[in-house]
Amino acid sequence: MFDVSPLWVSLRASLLATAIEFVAGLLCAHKAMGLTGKRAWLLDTILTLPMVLPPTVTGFFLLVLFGRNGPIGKLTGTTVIFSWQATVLSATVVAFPLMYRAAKGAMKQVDPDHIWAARTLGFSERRILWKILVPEAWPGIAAGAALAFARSLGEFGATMMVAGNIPGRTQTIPMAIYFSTVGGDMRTAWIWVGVITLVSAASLALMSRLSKGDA
Amino acid sequence: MNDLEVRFAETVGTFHLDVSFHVGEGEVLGLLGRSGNGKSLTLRTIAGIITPEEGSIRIGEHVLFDSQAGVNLPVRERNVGLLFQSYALFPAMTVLENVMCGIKDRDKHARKQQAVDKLSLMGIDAYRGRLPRELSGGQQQRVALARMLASQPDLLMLDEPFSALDHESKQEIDQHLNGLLRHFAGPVLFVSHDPEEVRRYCTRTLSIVEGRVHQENSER
Amino acid sequence: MKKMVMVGVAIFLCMALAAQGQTESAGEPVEILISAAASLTDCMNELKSAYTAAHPLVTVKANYGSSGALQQQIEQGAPADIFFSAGAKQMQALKDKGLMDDATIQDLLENKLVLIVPKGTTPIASLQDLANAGVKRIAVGDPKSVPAGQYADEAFRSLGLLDAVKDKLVYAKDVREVLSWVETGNVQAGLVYETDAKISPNVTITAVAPEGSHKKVIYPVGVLKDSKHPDVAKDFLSFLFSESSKEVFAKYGFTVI
Repeated sequence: MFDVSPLWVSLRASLLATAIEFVAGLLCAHKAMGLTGKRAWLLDTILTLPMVLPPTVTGFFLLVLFGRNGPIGKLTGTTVIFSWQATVLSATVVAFPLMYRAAKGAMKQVDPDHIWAARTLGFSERRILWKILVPEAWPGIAAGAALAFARSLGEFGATMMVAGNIPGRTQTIPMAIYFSTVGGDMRTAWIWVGVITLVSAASLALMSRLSKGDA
Repeated sequence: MNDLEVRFAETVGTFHLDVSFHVGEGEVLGLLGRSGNGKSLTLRTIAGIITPEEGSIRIGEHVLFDSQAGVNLPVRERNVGLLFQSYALFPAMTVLENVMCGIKDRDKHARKQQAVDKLSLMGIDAYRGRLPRELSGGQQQRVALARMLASQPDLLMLDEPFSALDHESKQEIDQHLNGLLRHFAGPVLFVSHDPEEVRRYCTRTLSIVEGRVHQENSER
Repeated sequence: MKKMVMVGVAIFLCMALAAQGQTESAGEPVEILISAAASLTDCMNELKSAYTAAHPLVTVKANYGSSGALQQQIEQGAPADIFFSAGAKQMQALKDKGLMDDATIQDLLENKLVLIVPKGTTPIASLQDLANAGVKRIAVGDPKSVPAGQYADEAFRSLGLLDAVKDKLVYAKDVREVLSWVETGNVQAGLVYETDAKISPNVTITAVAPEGSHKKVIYPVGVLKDSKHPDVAKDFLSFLFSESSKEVFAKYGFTVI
């Protein structure tokens, strides 16, 4: 019987990760828009780092932070390592910068006069984000979410380090590909390669369509 | 008594602005000057978009800015209405939603009613369900005016209201603008480079030349 | 200016690539690649330094990983000169595909499969105790590609433990990863080779897999048929079988056959 569980593990991780990144990315991008100078650069660098660091470095930091002997592990008494939640964690951290940068880039394009007009009408900054910035920057934001989703699907290095390989619980599609390849099961490997290529291609196509969007 | 008292000095880039004037309740003050002379900057400073180096801006008892007392209200607390040259209508909202969004009533039904009132005043109630991009320039401007009025500001500021309109649209707007100016009880600032327009709508005019505005005698 | 930089980079790249190519002839430097099981990492590093010190013209490069991964790489054309596996299965697979110089294959080492726990945690007296409710997560190598994982799987089956422990298992991609997971305390126990456990000060051996519960842990080694430097490879192989090498293996805890 062909084990389909990697598909569900991957989808669960990526969909949850994308949902979290979406909100967090918008809030961080909004915050970053209000900063200037050195503080802006610092925030930007920290939030973009997981995108350029090798996944193993990201995995290392997550392990150190969330592991049993790390600050968060000690604080909560349990560890998220080797649980399905860890697949969400690594997928989120790795893909977050993509969402953040796309959201920031798109929101910066919004006509500043719209933002000022909203302020003269008494809007709070939070209301400006959700009622003005997000709707007007939507094509760029949605494209960013599609791209982040595709990236989180392909996550391997960091996930392996913090979630381990537990078939049915943390074994994602990329992991299934790796382990079936080294285990000599090329047929399984081919099937998963096909699935993930299709899904990734579809995400990118969606991203293209969304960024052309209603201008 | 809701009059406008403005006095400030600021430098934006290499441009120096030195402004001082007063607008009484019910007055429509025209600020006349060529492009690049600081008219829009003046309006934006009063709105709070730009912060001057020193000075004071007051509407009635409400102090918006006072460099000596250290007061500098954020834009959203100033309760001023600014008609942008580009109208700045929110493209993702319908006409009705645009006008409703500045109204501070808890009750959604009441908000809708007030919005419809203002749209009727500007003669475009029929377009309430449309999106801004579906409207002509003149229609968009009327929506912007309705939105501004609906938020019940203490002060109205119109930044070159006719610069983007053709002759026909100007004719259309004319009666609505007059109606609006009569309807509004507070002070109004009307900025333009066209002496004709200013003569037509304003009770008094000041010239702004290279960033300087002086209180002069009235024009009517 | 930009064009000159690009030309400079291109030239540099060409030179760097050219420097990779080696030819074998008397007096010229030679490089051989040995694909070795992850559990051999530390002793092989020591041995290849020793060999290079005695043979200055030879550079020995080592590629470590699970034997299954290494086998796959070789099947797909990886240019290894020597394959040093932790399991007979992987060596046999390459033999069956005609990729080995059969005459050079020999069993060199034996190892033991042990149960380890993170240092300072409660010891687990036997493999059977892994079925207890208090044990939540156990690290093992993936049986499909990691010999240590295969042996662990065999041990569980022969002891009738597989059903009890199945849901607690986390599969690693090589035995050193199992070791690392136990060291960091994110699993309560793991199954590794005795030699791996000895390397780490952060784990404690609490049990040994019973004799007969799994196939003997045998490490075969051999030269690849397509090796570009078979003579040098064979020479390195005989070095591995020398007395001085045997001492090194024993030091790390391997049993020399």
